[in-house]
Amino acid sequence: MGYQGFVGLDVVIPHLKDNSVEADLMEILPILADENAVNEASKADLTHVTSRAANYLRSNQSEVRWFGTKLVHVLCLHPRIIASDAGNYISALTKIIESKCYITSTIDVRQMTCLESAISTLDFIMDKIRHKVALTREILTPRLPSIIQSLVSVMYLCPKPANFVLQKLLMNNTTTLRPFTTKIQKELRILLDDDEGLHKMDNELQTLVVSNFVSIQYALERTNTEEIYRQKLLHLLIEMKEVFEIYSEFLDLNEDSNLQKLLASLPSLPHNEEEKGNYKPLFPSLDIDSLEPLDILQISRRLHLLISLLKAFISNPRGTAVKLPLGYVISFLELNLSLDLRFSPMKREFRDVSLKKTVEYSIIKNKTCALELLTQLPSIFGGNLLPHFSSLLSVYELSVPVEIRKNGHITIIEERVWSQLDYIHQILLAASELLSLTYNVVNITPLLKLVDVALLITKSRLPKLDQSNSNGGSFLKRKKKGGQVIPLSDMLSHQHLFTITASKRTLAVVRQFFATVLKSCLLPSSKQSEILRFVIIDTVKHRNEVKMDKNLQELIHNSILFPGHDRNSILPIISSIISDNFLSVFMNPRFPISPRRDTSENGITGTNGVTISYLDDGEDEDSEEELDNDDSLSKRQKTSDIATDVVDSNGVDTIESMSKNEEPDTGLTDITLVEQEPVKISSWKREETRVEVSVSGVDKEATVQISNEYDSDSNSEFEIPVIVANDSEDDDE
Amino acid sequence: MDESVFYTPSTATDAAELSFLASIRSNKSHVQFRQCAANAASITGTGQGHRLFVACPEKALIQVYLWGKESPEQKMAVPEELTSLLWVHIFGAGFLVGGGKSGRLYVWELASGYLLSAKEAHYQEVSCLEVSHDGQVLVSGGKDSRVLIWRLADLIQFSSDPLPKPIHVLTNHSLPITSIALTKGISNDIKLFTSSLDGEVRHYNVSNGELLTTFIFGEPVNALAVDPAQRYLYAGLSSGTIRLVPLFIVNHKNQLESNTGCGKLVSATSADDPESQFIITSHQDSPVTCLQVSADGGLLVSADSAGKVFVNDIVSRQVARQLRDCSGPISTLRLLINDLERVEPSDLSTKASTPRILPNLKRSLISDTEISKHDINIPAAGTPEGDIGSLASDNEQLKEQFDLRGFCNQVRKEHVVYQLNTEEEAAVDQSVQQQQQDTDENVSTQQYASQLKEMTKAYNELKRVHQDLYSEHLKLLDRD
Repeated sequence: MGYQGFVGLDVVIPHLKDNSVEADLMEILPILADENAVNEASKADLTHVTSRAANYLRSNQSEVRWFGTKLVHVLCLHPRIIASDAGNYISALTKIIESKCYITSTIDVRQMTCLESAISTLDFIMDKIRHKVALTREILTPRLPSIIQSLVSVMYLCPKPANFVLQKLLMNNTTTLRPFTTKIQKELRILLDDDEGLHKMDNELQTLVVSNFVSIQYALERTNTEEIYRQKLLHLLIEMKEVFEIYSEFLDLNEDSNLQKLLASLPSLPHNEEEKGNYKPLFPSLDIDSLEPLDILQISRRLHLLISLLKAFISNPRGTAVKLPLGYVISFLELNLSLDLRFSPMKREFRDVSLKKTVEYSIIKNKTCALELLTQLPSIFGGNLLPHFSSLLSVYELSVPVEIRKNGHITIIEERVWSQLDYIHQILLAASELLSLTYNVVNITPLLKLVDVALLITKSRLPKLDQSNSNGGSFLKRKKKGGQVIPLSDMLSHQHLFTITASKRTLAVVRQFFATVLKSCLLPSSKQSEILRFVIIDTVKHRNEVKMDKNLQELIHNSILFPGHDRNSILPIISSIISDNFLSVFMNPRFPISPRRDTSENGITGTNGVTISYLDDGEDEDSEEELDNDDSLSKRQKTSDIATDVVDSNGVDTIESMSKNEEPDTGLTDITLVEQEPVKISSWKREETRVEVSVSGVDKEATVQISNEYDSDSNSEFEIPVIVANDSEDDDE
Repeated sequence: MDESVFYTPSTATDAAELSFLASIRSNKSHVQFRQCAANAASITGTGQGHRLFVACPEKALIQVYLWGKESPEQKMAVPEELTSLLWVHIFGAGFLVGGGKSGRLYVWELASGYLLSAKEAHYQEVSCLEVSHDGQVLVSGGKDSRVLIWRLADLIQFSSDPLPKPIHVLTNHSLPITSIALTKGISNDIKLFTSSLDGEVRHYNVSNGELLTTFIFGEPVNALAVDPAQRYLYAGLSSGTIRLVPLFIVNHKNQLESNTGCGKLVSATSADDPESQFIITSHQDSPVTCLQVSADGGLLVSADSAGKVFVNDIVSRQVARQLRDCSGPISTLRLLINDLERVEPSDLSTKASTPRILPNLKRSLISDTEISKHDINIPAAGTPEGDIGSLASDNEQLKEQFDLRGFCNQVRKEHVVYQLNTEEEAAVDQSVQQQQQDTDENVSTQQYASQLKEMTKAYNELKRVHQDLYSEHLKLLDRD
C-alpha cells in the first residue's frame, strides 16, 4: 500500500451527481489535483469522475458548464487522465466555444465567464499535450481545425484569451493554421479598426493583437519564410517612412541636413514596376485636413500602430532563423527623434498657431513612442546594439528640450520638461538601458545634459498659476489685488500644501538612470557631487521604509562602488542612515581565505588520501564533489582536526592561525588574525610544517608550526607548505 | 554541475589532429574534434548549438566546428594567419576577436559576419588575447612585449571618429608576452596578470593601468593562472615546473597581509623555495604551455609541449588525473562549466533544427551601406542555437508547477458572478411566488376573470351611453 494521507476520489463522486453545482469547488479541486488521489483510484472511480466532468461540459446551463471547465482543468493535471480523456474534453470545450455560450445580442457576464474559462481550460490542455509526439498526433492534431475555427469565431467576444491561444498556435502549428490565414487576418483587422482600435485596448491586449497580426504576415508561409519576413519588414519600414513624410507637407524638412541623410538611408518605394506591384501598404492612406489641427494626430496614431507592429516584427519569437536589418530599424527611430521644429520650421503658408502647436504635440507623441521601442532594443538585441551606441546616445541628448540664451548658454526649458514629463522619463529610461550595455564610456558630454534634466525633475515645485508667476514676488502681490485673492491666499499661508513633489515613477526612473550612469562612466566631480547629494537626500527620505525600493538600493550600492574621480566616499554617511548587509563588506573588509587541509567531515578527498577543504563550512565553495579515490572514505574517517600553531622565531608568541574559522576583519593593509579558540588535537596524524615570513627591515620571523606527531600515513605527501614571502630589497624598483 | 576541459594541439604528428573535451572530475570524455591543430582556439560552451572556432596554423583560415560533430562544419577565409583567437559574448551578442601574425587585431560580429575593426595594434604577432568576464575589457599581448588594454565597445563602434585607441599601453616586459589572466569584479576592481619570456609576471590595475606588483621567477614563464578568489598565482615555467605564489601572507606581526600592490617586487625563484614547497612538478622537463584553475580553486589543469594534460590537486601538489594525450604541444586549454541538468532544447522541441550556418566572416572592413543596413542573423526561437544567444533566462517550454492556490483564487473570483446572479434570480422568483400566494389566499383567478368581464361589460355600456349623449350634445350645439 502506498501513501494513505489523501482523500480518495470516492468521496468526491457523490457530490458530482446530476450536474449539481452545489458542491464547494474549493474543497473538490484540491482533492482532484492530488496526484495520489488519481493514481490510487480504482479504474471505475476514475471513469466515474471523468465522465461526470464531461457531462458537466455538455450541459446547457452556463454555470454548470463553467463548473465543468474548472473540474476538467484540474483533472487534466494528471497524465493518466490526459491520455484517456483529453480528446473528449477538447471536443466538448470546442463545442462550448463554438456555441459562443449562446451569447446573442446582449452579453451576459455569466456566459462570458463560462466562455473565457472554457478557452483557458482548452489552452491548458493543449499546453499539456504540446511537444509530446504521440499525444499531439493522436489527440490534438485531428481536432485543431475545429479549435481554430471556434477561436476565430469568438475573437471579437473575448479577444484576449482567444489571441493568447492563437499566439501559441502561430508558433507551433503553422501548417494547420494555414487555411485560416485570411479569416484570422480579417478578425484582427476588425479589432485593430485601422488606427482606431489599438489605443482602446489595454497594453496586454495591444501586444497580443499586434503580435498575432505580424506573425500571420509571414509565419504561415509554406516556403521561403525568411525572405518573406524580410520583405514584409522592409515594406513596413517603407510604409512608416511614407507616413512620416506627411510632415513634409507642413514642415520644411529640407532645412535639416541630418534628417535628410537619415531619410535617404531608409529603404524607399521600389522604382521597379514588378516590385512596386508587390508592395501593398498594410493600412489605407490617411485623410488629413490642414485646416483641422486635430487631424494631424492621425499621423501619430498611425505611426504608433506601425511602431507597435515593428516592435512585434523584431521581438516575436520566430520558428525560423531570419535576417533582420537592425540598421534600418535604428535609423527610423532616430529619424523620429531627430524631427524638431527648431531645425525643420513650419512652412510659411501655415501661420495658424494652433496647427503649429498640434504638429509639435504630435511630434512629441511620436518621439515618446519611438523611445519606448528604443528602451526595449537593448534587451532584444543586447551587444549587437553596441556598434550604434554613440549615435543613439547623441540622439537622446538632442531630445532634451533646450534653448540657447543670448549669452550663448544652453539651458533646459523647464516649462517644457514639466509638460512633457512622460517623454522625459522615456528618454532617461532609454538612456539607462543603453548605458547598461557597457562601461568606461569615454565621451560623457551627451550624458551631462541628461543628468541635468534628471536632477531637475526630482525637484519640488509650486504650480504655475499665471504667466507672471515666474516673476517671483510680483505675482503674489497681484493675487492680493485680483478677484482670486481668497482661494489663492492659501498659496501664501500654506505654500507646502501646493508643492508638487516628484512622483514615484519619476523617482524610480531617476534612480535607475543615476545607478547606471555612476556605473558606466566617470562623471566630472561637480555632477558626481550633485548625484551623491540626491542619493543622500533620497536615502534619508526613505530610510524608514520597511522594504527599501530596489532601485534606490541599487543606486546606493553603485554610489559606493563607483566613487568617481574624487574618491569621496559616501560610505560613512550612508552607513549611519541605513543598515545594509552590503555595506558591511565595505566596513569590514576581508581577504579570501587560502585553500587548506580539511578539518571538517565533508571536505574533498585528494588522490593522496588527504581530505581538503576550502575555507570554512559557511563559505560557498563547492566542497562536496569527490575526486576519484577508492580509499577516500577510510582516509576521511581518519582525518580530523589538526592543531596549528604559529610561533615566532623565538618561540615566544603562539597563535592559532590555521584553524577553520579564522577570518581577518580589519582594514585592507593591516589585517590581524582573529583570536580563536585553540583547536583540539584529536588526530592520529600530525605534521610539522613551518611557515616562515620575513619582512624587510624587521628582524622578526613568524613561523607557523603544525604539530603532527602521530602521522602514520607515510604515503601522504600533504603538508601545510612553507610560505616565504621575502620582500626585502624588492621595493627598490 | 561538472567541469570540463577543452584542449587542442598547435601541431599534431598524427593524421587525425585530435583535440578533446573531457571532464576533469570524472573519466567522462565528451567530444573530440578532428583536423583540429590550432594556433589558437575558442569554444563557446558545452552542449548542442555551441561552436568551436579554430585558427589554423600557417593558413589564413578559421575552422568552425559544431558541438557533436567531429569534422569542421565551416571554413572561413580571413585576411591573414591568426595567432590568437577569442570568442567574446556581450549581452547575448557574439563577437570573434583575432590577433594576426602582423600584429593586427580583428573584430568580427558573428551575427552579421561584418569585420568591425582591423586595428594595427602590435608591432609583432599577437601572442595572446583575453577578455574580462563581462566582455567589456579586451587585453592583447604581443611578441613585441607590449600589452594593450582595450575597451571592446570602442573597437566595435560604427562611427570611427575618433579612431579607437587602447585605454592603456603597458610596456614593462622586455620579452614576448606569453599569457594573460584577468580577475573578476566590477570595472574598478579588475586586475590583470601578464607573463613573459623575460621571467616575470606583472600585475596591473586595469582601470588605470597602474603596475601593482612584479613577480620574478628567474626563468621564462609560459603560462599563467590566477585563483578565482585571487588567493594564489600559478605560473607554468619553461623548465616544466608550475610555481605557486600566495597573494596573501602572514607578516612579522602575525597579521595576514596582501603580498601584492604598491609596485612591490616579489621574488618567486627556486632559491626562494629551497624546500620546493610551492611547486608542482607533474610535467617533469616538458615546458608548461597552458594553465587553468578549476571553479572551486582546488584543481589546476596544466598542459605541456609534449601534449600531456594533467589535473593537479593544488593543496597536495599531486596529480589527480592524467587526461588523454595530444600528439603535439598544447596551444589552447580552456575550462568550461557544464550544467548536467540542462535539458537540451532539441529534446523538447519536435522540430529540432540543425544550427544555422554562420555568415561568412568578411575580409574587408564594414562599408557605409552595410552600416546603414546592419543585417543581423537571428536564430529561430526554441532551437539550441537560439537559446545560447537568448537573453531570456527561462526556457519557456519548461513549465513550472501548477499553481493550485492561484487557480483556486481565480475560481473564487469567477464564482462570484454566478453567486450574485443566482441570488438576484432567487429574489425575483421569491417575489413572484409571494404574489401567487396572496392571490390564492383571497380570490381565485377565475373570480377575478368574471369580475373583469362584468366590469368591462359595464364600462362598455357606460361608454356607449356617453357617446350617445355626446353626439346629441354636438347636434344641439350645431343647431345653436
